[in-house]
Amino acid sequence: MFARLFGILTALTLLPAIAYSQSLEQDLSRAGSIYSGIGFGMPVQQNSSHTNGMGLSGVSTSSPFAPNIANPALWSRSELTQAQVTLGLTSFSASDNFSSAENSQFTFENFQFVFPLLRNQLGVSIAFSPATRSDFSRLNRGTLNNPDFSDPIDYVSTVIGAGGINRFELGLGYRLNQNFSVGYAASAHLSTLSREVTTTFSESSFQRNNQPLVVDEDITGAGFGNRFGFYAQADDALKNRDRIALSAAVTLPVSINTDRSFETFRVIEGINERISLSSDPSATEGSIKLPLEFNSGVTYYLNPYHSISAEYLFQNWNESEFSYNPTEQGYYTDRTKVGVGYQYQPFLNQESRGFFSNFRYSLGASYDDGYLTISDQEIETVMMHAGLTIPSQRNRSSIDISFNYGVRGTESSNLVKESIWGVKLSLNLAEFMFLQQRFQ
Amino acid sequence: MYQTNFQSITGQSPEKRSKISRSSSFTSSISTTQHNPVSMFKGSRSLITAFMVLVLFSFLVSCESDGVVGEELSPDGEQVETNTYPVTNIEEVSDNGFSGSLNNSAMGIVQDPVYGTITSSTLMKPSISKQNSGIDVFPADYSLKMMLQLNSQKYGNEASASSYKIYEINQRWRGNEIRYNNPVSVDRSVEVGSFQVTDEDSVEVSLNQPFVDRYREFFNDTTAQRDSLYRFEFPGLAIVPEDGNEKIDFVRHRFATDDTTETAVSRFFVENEQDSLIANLSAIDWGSSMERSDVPETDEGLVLHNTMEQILKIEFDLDPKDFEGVEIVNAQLILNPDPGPDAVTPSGFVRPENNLIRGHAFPSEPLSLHSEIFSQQASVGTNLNEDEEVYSLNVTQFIIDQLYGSNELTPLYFTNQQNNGLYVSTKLFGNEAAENVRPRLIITTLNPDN
Repeated sequence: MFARLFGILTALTLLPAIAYSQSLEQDLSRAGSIYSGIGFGMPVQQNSSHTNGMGLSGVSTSSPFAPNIANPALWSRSELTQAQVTLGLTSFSASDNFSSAENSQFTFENFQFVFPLLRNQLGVSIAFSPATRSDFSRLNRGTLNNPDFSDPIDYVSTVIGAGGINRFELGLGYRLNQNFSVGYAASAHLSTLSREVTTTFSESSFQRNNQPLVVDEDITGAGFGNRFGFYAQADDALKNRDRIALSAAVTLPVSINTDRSFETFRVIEGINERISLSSDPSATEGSIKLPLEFNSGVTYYLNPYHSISAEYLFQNWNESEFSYNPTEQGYYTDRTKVGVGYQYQPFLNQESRGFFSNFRYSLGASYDDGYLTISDQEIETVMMHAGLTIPSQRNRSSIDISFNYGVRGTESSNLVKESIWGVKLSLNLAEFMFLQQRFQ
Repeated sequence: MYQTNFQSITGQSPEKRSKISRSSSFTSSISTTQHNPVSMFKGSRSLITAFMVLVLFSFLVSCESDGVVGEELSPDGEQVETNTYPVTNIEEVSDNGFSGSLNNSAMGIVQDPVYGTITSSTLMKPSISKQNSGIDVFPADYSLKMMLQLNSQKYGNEASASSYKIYEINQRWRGNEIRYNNPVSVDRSVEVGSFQVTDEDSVEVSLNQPFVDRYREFFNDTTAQRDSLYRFEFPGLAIVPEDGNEKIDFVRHRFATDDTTETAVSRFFVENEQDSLIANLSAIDWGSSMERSDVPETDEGLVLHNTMEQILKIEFDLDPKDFEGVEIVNAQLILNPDPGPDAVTPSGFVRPENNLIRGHAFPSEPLSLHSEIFSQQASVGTNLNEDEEVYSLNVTQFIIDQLYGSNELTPLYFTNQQNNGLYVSTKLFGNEAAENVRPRLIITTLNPDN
């Protein structure tokens, strides 16, 4: 009883920690991909913790050791109450034709809580995850040339972006029969995009009390989303003890009505006041539209210990909207991502011996043609992935550690090429909860 | 196969729970072989510890950022813009500043082809302070002399010789109240002294005996009314220029900030029969009795006198809607001096040069403009940019207060130089001039939306 209570308290403790990690993200982790500064941020790939090591979402990969975040249909297959949280640390080595930069970013990936209403038949999921992320630092330089200035005045604007669009999701998965499951999830999308523009001038009279001018931009809003999932599996499909699983998940477009504000400090009649630069409501209203997403996959289990997965993701970014910046909206282009992965799970085999048989191993690769086309250049991403799962020896809880390395973008057309490496850490808790203990 | 008390833990019979699992050999190998749910240890300490480590991980991890790339990804629009606005609401306001108790007083006549004819007399009144002079009695055989320290700055024909006569003033006056273009009355019937000046640094003038005798009476007076009688019944002296003078000399009365310790100021002194110095007497009051006349009429240009005879009143007709959504970074009022006056001056004619313009703002319309300007610190000010020949006044805060403040602001009043007793005039291009030299406002804004 004490241990269960402690587990619940731990999970509850985690919630403010997650909230804090969001604020931490805004305070410190402002140096993600430079491309996340375009539009309403870079789409965050929601991988299930047990398939992170393959770089796949896990839309067709079910696991009794971790909840699945990619496919609502798979929530029907939960036997235990499960919770998972994933954190990540990503490093970017970026370069263009003029300079290079090193950034690293701590991110909260997602939090999910799944519990069965009917064991192995009807499951509920509550999840919090970012849909897009906009964490970047960028410089704009310029020179003011005016014949009335004795010398040209240089200025540098540092733009630091943080936040993104977060998704709170509640959904159900129902198992139709042994082989088919369907699922649905409704979500609330909250926009919390913020940018801080700090402008420094070479001429002191352009500074305010020798301090640079700081303008804060915030785009806030909310919208509702819908997601559907389908899962089918067939055992002994090609040979004895094998399984093939096919699945698809569709996320409908999400429209978010937003308000944008620009705020700064201004000294008026001797009083330093925080003021809004826009008083006209029509100038602040806008809209963001997240694209339709189709995610499908196939997983073939050669036996309970070896599996191969392939996934195809399509996002209809051509129809996305970012009304505040038509130029950046024009960069959006339909995105396709494909990936393959392999998992080896020797820990399931009771006959396996040795230290290395206590884990699950994952390996994968993915190609993403990107959601941006800038100067006729697609911002592509190629990634290699590897992962290790440490299952509990006593229950179905586990820890997933995954690594990824890849390259995004190009230096052509004065764009930026990023070398990315990252590590993700997921903790998956599985517990009997909400079950009446009839005898002691 | 099933552990004891399984039902009590799960609430389900083992058969019911394993119904689905048993239907598949694939699933059963996962669900029941190694990870029999019955064997689960609720609240595994190691995993809870790992959870806490995960939380700590989020607190402890630090991020770094070094270097910047992707400037080419910046938006196309210019976030910082500079725009020029015409300044058309300009009015030349006439007033007269204080002319007494300043650092200098002026004496002479100048006929300026641009700024008119100025006739000015220096007014001085010796002190009767025994303490400061160091003598208790002014003996009858002692003489009183005037020592004038002259400023090197001249106005007019610099090489010309000037003749002055000294008369007694025949009206009451006070240095703190006397103003330009309000000349004092002088008794020209009795000449107290006279002298000539060309390029001397100082002039020593003997004062006639009747004046000295009258002064001695006040000095030696021991009654209680001594000071008040002296103030009301002894107006002092006026140094009046002779007709035909072609320049104005400036008499120094106070130490300026750039003076050296050796720099002297004008005073009186007492000598004995052997012309030996007995005592120094400072001036208790001084000023200029000045009058400007015959000013050429012109509609061109904007004229400023540091005597505050002309002040510029400027209002900025800006529409707040033009600045919606942007932040004003800097606003500069640009005024170009007109070099025309220098071109029409005769050979050898010099003017005190102007190199400063100041702007004054008031919370309400001043009742006495010259006195408020004189007594309050300027809101804005700038020196002449000699390379560009332009005055650039930073009026950023004034513009912000005007656009966004709740208080009703008066216009900005602009004066030139300081009212320090010198006569400094300047002419600025007005709105009839070429566009590039008209008064204008350069406003730099930041538009975060670009």
